[in-house]
Amino acid sequence: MLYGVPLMAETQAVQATRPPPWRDVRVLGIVGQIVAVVSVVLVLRWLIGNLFTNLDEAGIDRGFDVLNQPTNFAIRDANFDSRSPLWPDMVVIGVKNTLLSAAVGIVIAVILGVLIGIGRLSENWLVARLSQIYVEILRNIPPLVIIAFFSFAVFTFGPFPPFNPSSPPWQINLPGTDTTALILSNDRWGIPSIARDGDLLPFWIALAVAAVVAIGLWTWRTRVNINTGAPHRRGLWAWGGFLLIAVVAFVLLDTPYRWSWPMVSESGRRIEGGFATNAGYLSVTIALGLYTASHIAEIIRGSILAVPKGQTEAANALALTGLQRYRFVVLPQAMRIAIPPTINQFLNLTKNTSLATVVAYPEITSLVKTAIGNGKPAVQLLVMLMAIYLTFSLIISVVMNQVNRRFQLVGR
Amino acid sequence: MTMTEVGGPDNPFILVNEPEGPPSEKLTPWEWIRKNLFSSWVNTLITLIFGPIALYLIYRFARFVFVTGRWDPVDSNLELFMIGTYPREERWRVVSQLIVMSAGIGGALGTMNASAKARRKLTGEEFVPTSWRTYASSYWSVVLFVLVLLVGFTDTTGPWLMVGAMVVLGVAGWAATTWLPDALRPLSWSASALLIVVSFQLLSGTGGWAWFYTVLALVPLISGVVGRLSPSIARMAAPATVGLGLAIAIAALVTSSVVVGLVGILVGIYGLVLVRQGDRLDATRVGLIMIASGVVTVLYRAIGLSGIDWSEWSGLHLTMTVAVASTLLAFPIGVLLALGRRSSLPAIRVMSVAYIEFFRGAPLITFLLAGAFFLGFFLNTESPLSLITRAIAAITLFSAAYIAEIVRGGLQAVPKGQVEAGLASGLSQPQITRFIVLPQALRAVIPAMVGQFISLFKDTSLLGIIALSEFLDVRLLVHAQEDFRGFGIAETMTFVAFGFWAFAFAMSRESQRLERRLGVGQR
Repeated sequence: MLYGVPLMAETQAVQATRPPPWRDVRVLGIVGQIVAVVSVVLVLRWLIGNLFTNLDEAGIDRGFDVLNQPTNFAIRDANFDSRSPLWPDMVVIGVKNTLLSAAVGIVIAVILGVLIGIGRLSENWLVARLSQIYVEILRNIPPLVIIAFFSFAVFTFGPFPPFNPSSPPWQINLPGTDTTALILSNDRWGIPSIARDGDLLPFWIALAVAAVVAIGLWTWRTRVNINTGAPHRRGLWAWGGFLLIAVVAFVLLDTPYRWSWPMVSESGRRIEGGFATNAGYLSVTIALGLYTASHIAEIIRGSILAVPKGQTEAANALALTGLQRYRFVVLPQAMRIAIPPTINQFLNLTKNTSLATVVAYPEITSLVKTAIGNGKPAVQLLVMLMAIYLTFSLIISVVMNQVNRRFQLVGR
Repeated sequence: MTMTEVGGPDNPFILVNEPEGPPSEKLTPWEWIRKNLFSSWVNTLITLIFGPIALYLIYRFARFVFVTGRWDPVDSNLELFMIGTYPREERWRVVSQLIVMSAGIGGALGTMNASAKARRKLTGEEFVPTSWRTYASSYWSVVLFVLVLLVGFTDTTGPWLMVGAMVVLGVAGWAATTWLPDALRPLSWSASALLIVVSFQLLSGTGGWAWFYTVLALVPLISGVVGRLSPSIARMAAPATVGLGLAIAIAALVTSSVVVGLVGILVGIYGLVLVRQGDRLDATRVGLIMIASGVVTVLYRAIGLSGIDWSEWSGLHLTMTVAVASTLLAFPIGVLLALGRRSSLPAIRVMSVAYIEFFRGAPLITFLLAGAFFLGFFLNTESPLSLITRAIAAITLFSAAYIAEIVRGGLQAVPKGQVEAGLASGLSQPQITRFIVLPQALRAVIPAMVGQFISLFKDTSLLGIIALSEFLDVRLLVHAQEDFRGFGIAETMTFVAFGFWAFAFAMSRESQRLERRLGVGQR
């Protein structure tokens, strides 16, 4: 086969007069493959043999047991001191931090990216121009430069005050109250978070009931639609019912979840309550969110433009309103085009969190780099690091295949 | 202007005239404002919200640039940003490199233009030269960057003279090759390429550019062997040649000495001997360049002009060098991997897929760290490899995987009928690949390749992580100075971001233009 086209030698007709082996395409193919495999194996053996010899000569351990020894360094803001082992404690913290940054970054990127992508197609000249400028600037600057800009120009040497007893950070109160809503300093921020308060079981039971009711409403509306042809509006019914029960339960059960507001501790050194983040995390997450948003915006714009014009015209001919046209005709088709590359951007963002090495945010790559700097064996650690990222890629590509299959079912 | 069908058979650059939209209706400014800003009440509301925001952002930005920004750290360290810690007494080499190179690039562009013109004349089509406005809309950001450097940050006449010389020689090269008689055109290709090669040699002296020779050496070898010999032999000879090329690459890597120059001469002659027919011209050109550059190497050696070890290169110069070198090296590997992935032989396909997925699965930084920490352990080198060599190796292996995926997309886009037509014409498999499939596939992926080059260019900012002072990390040197400690960080960062942006933006505009011009997605 050559690019999917069967070769003459492979078809039945020619088999009768087979050429001598040294000119037979199939024999040569097999010989070529054996030669290629053998030479690759030999080169790899040579390389790895060299590696082992050199490691032994340098007196470096080449087993993976070294990973269980203490790391001899501590990680701030984590339950990890210098006696904790590299595997699994450090790896768990690192992967957790990577995912934390990636998840929030992805949320920022999707929201901003979709808004800007649609903004680029706006009829309003000003919005279209602003979106275009955003995309053209952010897309063409290396993500590392953006991260470093946030870390050094915005946080460390930026407008925010340092955080220590002699210089308190900025504290922004909720309007009209004494509650601190935000704590801003040049290396840590405190933001409100949600904390549990009291017994959660009744509330979760209420949520389960709400879910059952919602499913019931959904089925009922679907049946009404099938039987009478009246508009089903099942999303509205189901979500409305669910939210109604949830809100009532939340109020009746005396708010099992409460806001937890950040507060500067007595000593003036720590943040108590809320969610405390450091400047490294903020720089990486915000910068990657903004950077990836520019790529997602381009994907969204491209996908909407890729929907044939005839579709819009057909929707107009059916007298759909502008919103209906988007909701039922353009967006479903654009989504199918946009989703695979967008998921790919999620993977890119996750891989880009490794750039946090420059801003001392303890995600997995910077922890591995610190460990190597502390005399841990580089080979094993980097092999482990690559394996971790390959796992991320594998998961994403499995998800992507599922999504592709699902979206292709709709299609031609 | 008319849309024309695919023009020349082998020039990937000039195919379709730029498509032209319907004639735009003329609006008075008042009508334009009503149509674009206040067409409905929603539109008016949006304008009223975003208008003040936009004005405020412009105001703040202008204030930062012209009033509050304290640009002394950039002003007094411009040379540091450009060439980093490069030895100052050898500065003339960088200057002459840039000048010679711009003559070469001008020559190459002129030749391209002239051959397109000649081809149009042959086919009787109208030749529409690319207008200055088109170039300006692609490259204004680079021009702006250079102007900012010259006007804003230089006090001496030296840089002005250098840029002036670059412009004059570039235009001279362009003019000379544009008006050269048709018969001499092959010569002008070679001359332009030679100027570019020699300009790099001005810097490296005898060492350092081992990689560059090797890639050039691979071109005649591969184009010579694949498709020349009878199919059965070519089938074995092609991988063997590739293996030989890689072996030379490793040898060249390990021994960056005059030996490399001699290898260059020998391989050039070999390429000439090997190629006996058909596109002899290509191979002749490359062979000539190889021989000439080998001779230059030996000459430099004779007059004792030693190379500047590239561990001393840094700044924007290093960024550019690494980006260009890695792309040139990654391209042939990527094409081979793509062909391997589409191969009918399962073992080769599996190995290509494994390589591609491995390198695409992990971020570049892991490979850079691996290169920095233990690449040397894999090779039995006498002296340790320089950090830059390791970095280029890591980036090359990494981006080859991405290039392979791009080229694979192009290969899949070639219609089956093309291959069938090739088989019907009695061409061998390698011939079909070389003359039918690859030219079409590569042409279709040019815009995507430019995109990959942009991301490689942006990725060079990671070199700082393995302690190489590229453009971004020069700021660490600047802010280590007594006067600028913890001062003007936002300004230096903005300057660096502007530098990266100027080049990346120009390339992305160029890629969009090529996309329109090649009519990708329109056929």
